[in-house]
Amino acid sequence: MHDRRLAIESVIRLGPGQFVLGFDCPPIAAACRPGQFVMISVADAIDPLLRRPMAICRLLRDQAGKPHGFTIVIEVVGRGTALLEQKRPGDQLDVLGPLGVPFEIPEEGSDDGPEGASEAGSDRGAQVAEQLLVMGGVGAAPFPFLAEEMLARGLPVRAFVGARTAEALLCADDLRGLGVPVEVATDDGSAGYHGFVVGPLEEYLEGHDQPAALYTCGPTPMMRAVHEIAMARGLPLQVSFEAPMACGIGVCLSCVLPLYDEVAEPAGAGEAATSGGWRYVRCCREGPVFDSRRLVWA
Amino acid sequence: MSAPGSPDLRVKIGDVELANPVIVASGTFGYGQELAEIIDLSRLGGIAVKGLSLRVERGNRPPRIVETPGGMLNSIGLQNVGAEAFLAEKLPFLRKFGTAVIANIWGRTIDEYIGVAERLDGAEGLTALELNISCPNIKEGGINFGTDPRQTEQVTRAVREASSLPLWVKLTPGVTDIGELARAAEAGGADALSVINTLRGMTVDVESRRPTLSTIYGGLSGPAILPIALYMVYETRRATKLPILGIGGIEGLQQALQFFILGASAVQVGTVNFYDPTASIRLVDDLEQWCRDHRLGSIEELVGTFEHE
Repeated sequence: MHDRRLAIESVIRLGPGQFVLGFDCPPIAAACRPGQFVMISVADAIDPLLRRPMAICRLLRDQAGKPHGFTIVIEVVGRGTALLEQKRPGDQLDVLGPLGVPFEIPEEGSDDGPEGASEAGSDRGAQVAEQLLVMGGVGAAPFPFLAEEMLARGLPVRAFVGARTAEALLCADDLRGLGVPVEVATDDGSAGYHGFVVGPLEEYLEGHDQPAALYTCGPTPMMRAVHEIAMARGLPLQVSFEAPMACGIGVCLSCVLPLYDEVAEPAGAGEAATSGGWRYVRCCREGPVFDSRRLVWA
Repeated sequence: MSAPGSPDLRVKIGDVELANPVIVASGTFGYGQELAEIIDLSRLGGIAVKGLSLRVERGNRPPRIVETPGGMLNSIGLQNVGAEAFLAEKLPFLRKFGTAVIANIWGRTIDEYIGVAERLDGAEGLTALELNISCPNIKEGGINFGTDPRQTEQVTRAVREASSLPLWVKLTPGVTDIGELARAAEAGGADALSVINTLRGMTVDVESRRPTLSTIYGGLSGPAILPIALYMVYETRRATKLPILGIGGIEGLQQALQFFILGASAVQVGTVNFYDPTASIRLVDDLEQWCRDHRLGSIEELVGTFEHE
């Protein structure tokens, strides 16, 4: 964990209210893993007071391929992100990171996802599970970094990217640029599938009877729908959650989520079954990435 | 030990000597493990740990925080690991740094306060107890003990008799006359007073017309409460001679100095740990430099030097 005052290296404007900030910081770049985040200040003032959590979107590499920086992708949702939109290269921000538990990425050639996929995959031989990334809105932020790491391990990757409109789609171009097949869904039908991103995901799973591992981040109803699909099909799912957060490092206890003490096993038609208890865990510290079967979705 | 020529930052809170007057406030620092990754805990004057109860406490339903102008509201609900797990899993880690460890404790009944105090009594590496009778976020106990002088005295005396540790009592600003509560805590056997805890507050989401916190209201902290905290320390100083730990809205040097001038022997930094996690260590450095610049041999020379004629 590093706490650094960093000058913004680059600002790339995307759609309306969407932009990418680039930072040069070798210690954070060297340490961070896909799914982790940084806490960044939005003003050198007491209002707004708190730093904002932002997923690391891409690593910036030098010519030798060594990571020296990283990007974050931001969508304006409130005062803090609106202030960030005003920032220009050279402006300084406080950046703390990398933080949180990253996605667990299978080793190359393994036939199951992280803990528990084997029940689903055991009868399918040594076939490598396809890594299916399902994202909505600014929830797409951590996936380019994740896809890059998966591809580096030789894993097959496919992405399902949802947004309100065609121009609000985030990270789809980054993913395509990495060579990832991307299926797009928009709420208004202005690009790709007309409807939610779980539509094309379900269609794809219907037509492909091969082992798969799911990863998702986005609006909670979308992630819940992906969870139900994963449970019904016995597929492992890692979920990246977001919660109101003051510190990002586990001391304020604001960002808690209820987590079952043990994994809920699929029971019947996709119903989670656990007799165990639950407790609040910190999204920033025990997450933001969780095994979907341990989350209390009700 | 201070080198020749460098100002002496040591302070005494009753019989307790701290290496410097900067304590991290309860509820803003966990049990130290997380922040130890970026700051040197041995450089702090003290660490007040997250409020402990006898049993594990799950805490309140989210949402638990909301940002407010110059501050934040929280309603954590005193989620904590419980005294047993604290002693077994958290205190051994904290002991390694040689920094004073202050166990903030709370209960829903006097018996629960006694229970946690007894359980912690005699634990190696504990410097003091801080009695939380001022948390606004639990349904029973907590702040109710802190707003009625008779109950304040009663719970303070009960814990005083249950523990051999120095006893600091953390007061709420949510009263008409904090001096009355300060005297009540003193009568009950308090060794020092922590002034102040958070103030009750709330905000409303105008679209849903619902409260922004699950518990409707919560505790306000951050820079916004500084003037209230300073005033409460001023009133407390007038009411009692007990040592005071000044708390509320401290971001750094300029705020901390005001508390010392008003009579606080040490300060606690809280909410700033959330948005500037190295602020506490910077404050230690800045206090030393300020004393040097102002030719003070020790920080104690500044305490209670308020001029007000």
